[in-house]
Amino acid sequence: MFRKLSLFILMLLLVMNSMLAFGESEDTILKIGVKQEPDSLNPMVAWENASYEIFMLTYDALTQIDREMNVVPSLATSWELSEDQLTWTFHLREDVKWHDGEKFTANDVKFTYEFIQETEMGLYYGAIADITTIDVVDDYTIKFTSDLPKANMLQNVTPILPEHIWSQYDADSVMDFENEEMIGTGPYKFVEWQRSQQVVFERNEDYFGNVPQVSHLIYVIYANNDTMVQSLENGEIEIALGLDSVDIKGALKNENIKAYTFMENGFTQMGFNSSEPSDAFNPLIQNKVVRHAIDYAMDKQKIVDLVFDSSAEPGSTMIPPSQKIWHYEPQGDELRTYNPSKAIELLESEGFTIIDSEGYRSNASGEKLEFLLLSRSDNTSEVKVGQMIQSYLKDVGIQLNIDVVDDGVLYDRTMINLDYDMFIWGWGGDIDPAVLLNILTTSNLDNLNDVFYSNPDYDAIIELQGSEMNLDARIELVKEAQRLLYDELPYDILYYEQDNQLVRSDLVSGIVPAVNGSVFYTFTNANYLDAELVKGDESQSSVLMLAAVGVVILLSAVIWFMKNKKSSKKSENAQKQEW
Amino acid sequence: MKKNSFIKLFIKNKMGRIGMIIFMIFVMVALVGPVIVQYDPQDFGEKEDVLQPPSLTHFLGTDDLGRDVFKAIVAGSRVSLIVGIMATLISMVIGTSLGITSGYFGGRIDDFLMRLTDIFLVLPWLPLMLVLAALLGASIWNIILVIGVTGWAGTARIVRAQTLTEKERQYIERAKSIGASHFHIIKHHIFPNVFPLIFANTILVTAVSILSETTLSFLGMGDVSKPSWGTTLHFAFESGALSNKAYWYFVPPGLCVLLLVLSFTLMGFALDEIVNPKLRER
Repeated sequence: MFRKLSLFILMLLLVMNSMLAFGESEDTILKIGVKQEPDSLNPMVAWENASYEIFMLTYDALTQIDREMNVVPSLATSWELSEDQLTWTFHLREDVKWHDGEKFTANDVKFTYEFIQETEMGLYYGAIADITTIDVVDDYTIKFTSDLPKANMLQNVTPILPEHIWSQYDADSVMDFENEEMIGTGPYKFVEWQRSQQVVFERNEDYFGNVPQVSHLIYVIYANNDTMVQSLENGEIEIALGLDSVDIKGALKNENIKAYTFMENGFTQMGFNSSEPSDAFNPLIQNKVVRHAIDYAMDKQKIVDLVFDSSAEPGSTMIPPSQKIWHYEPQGDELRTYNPSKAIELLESEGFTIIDSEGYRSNASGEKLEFLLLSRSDNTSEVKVGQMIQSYLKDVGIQLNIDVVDDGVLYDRTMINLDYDMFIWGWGGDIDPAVLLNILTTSNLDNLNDVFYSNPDYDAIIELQGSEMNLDARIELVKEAQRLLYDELPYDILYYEQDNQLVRSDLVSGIVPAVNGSVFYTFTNANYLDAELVKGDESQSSVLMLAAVGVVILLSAVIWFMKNKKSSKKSENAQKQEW
Repeated sequence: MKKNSFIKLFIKNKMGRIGMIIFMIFVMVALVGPVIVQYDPQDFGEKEDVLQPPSLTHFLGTDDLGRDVFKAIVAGSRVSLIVGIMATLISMVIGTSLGITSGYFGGRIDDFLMRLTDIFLVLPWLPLMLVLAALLGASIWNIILVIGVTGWAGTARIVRAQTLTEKERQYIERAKSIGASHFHIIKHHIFPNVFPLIFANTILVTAVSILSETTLSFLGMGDVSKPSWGTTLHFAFESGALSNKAYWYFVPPGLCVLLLVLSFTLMGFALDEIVNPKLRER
């Protein structure tokens, strides 16, 4: 017993010692709590958000986006567009070095773009696939040519990879390349990734831009939101990301914690089966007026009030309001808000006038307004939303049955079996609005287009906006596309959710939110460069520490004393019995 | 054993008596409750009604969508009981018929059926149920089916053992010698003698079935349009009732499951004592 205790005390002293020693060193470590782990360090094969956040730290692109969402120079210092709008010329920085000391040149850029085009891999492929020729003019000048004007050339943040490392791989062998060195040009150098524990970075002292304020950056990976918030309150991490409004309720009472709340760049939708009519589902769902009636019947404001404690926003069109310049908000007559009597009016105009004993409607030829909704068992909010929709539709005479299924079953049923009428799921977007708009194009039928919606008019608008070089004209086209979808309603956008990021404002300074209100996991890495640890009052904390250790020692001594007493009593008893 | 003495013994047994009383209370609630207390799972409250503690208007407070928890529990008692009893009936029918067939005929039939039973015995039942429920989709009848077809193996074993001793009795030989058919012997001699054991086993299996239903629903495999106690627990857990300390949301359904399962277990033990004279106190 005594041995164990003394060991415990020794351990405590050691921990305390290391903590004091840590305070004295020059290192400044920024610790960020996250729930999502990267899936790969290889930009060709990674899909998770967490991986792309890391690429933004270790790699640079030709351009970057600042907090106000403006395009600013990065590896390229300036650029110009030819008269015919088909050729882009980029002038590159001459003072850039890779993390391993090699010099960066235009050949690396040419290599990266061609490598992605040849392998057709990664999420960056879509952004640069339409570039036809790449010419290296000299070591620090490069030209890109395409057949049609390329509207999103400057918004493409494809990370530039070092040719001297990646040139040994081809489309097959690059799949297995783990990229554990992560040689880039970015402001942080990759140190190590301990699976499901942490990802560690150190600052790149030779970075050509603003060198990060902190010497090290660590993502601490948590399995549970409650634990992460607890760690933040204890000061074990300075920043916590990806939290729900329910998680942060308690933490908001702490005056040292600053919450950055913003609307996600994405939406949750109710998709309507738009595939070829078959016996597997009710074709009445393909009647636009019925879909409009369903939209009128739902009180989206009350749905977000009850299910999300008012933290989400009722939805309307495909591009979320957080994408201010691109979002289209329906106005006047075309706007559909909660109006059950209007819904009933629409249904009756379509001939659904016969009401059965349960209050459900059908038309003269016996077709009943009975639909099947699929919702995901993993997402309780969506299940609850489904229940509320069921109730709203019942009010106007539409019977809604709900199947709660897991993601795999939902995927099979929406992509293969097509035996559903509607389902609830969501999408997340990018800075370029085309990412979300592309989902419902005909060319995506067997890929992302999960409702099998196909409309030549819509495809035409999407193609036009992709090559429209005038920003205002492109915005008009993007809005036109949203207006068309809002009227056609293959997706009923239910709501835009909220995300929360917590920062210990007493421990970190220099953090400024981007234009959408977020500080990390956003389109810019500015806060990783500007975050600075506040010089803490170390004497106070070490005194506290000493006091805590003292109390623990005292307590353990008392416990040990009492236990000892007990066991001696026991042995006495045992002896007595023997006698 | 005569019927009267059977019931007398049961009433005399303290465990049986307590279990019976609790069970009867739940049956009354399930039968009469939903008629008196109307519960519509789609009757959402306003924003102010969400997660309110118990009050005069809401006897057991409100849930995360502003609905009355007491009403949900009364309505849930019916679902839990129906699922428990129906699923047990299914597994009893399968278990008894397989057990008797296997024990009575013996030989290859016995080998085959018992290996099948072994497979079902060693299969981890929770993952099996989860997979089946996910495949079939969440509806109350699918849940019944899933619990029923996964829970019969133990019964089949017990029934087979009893059948084996029963068929060696002399009167069976005599019945055979005067030309009674297999069906006649099973129906008139084996089944009535195995029945008390089946009955005692049924009660215990019901407890397991109710617990299985709660487990499945708690894991989100339940039918959301017919909320049972497990579904209520599921939504309580997922909507942060624990961290919000909304005890009125998760304690009552948990307690109800506990009491109902306890009542079946008590009755089961009591019956076991009566059927198995070795356990009877003298």
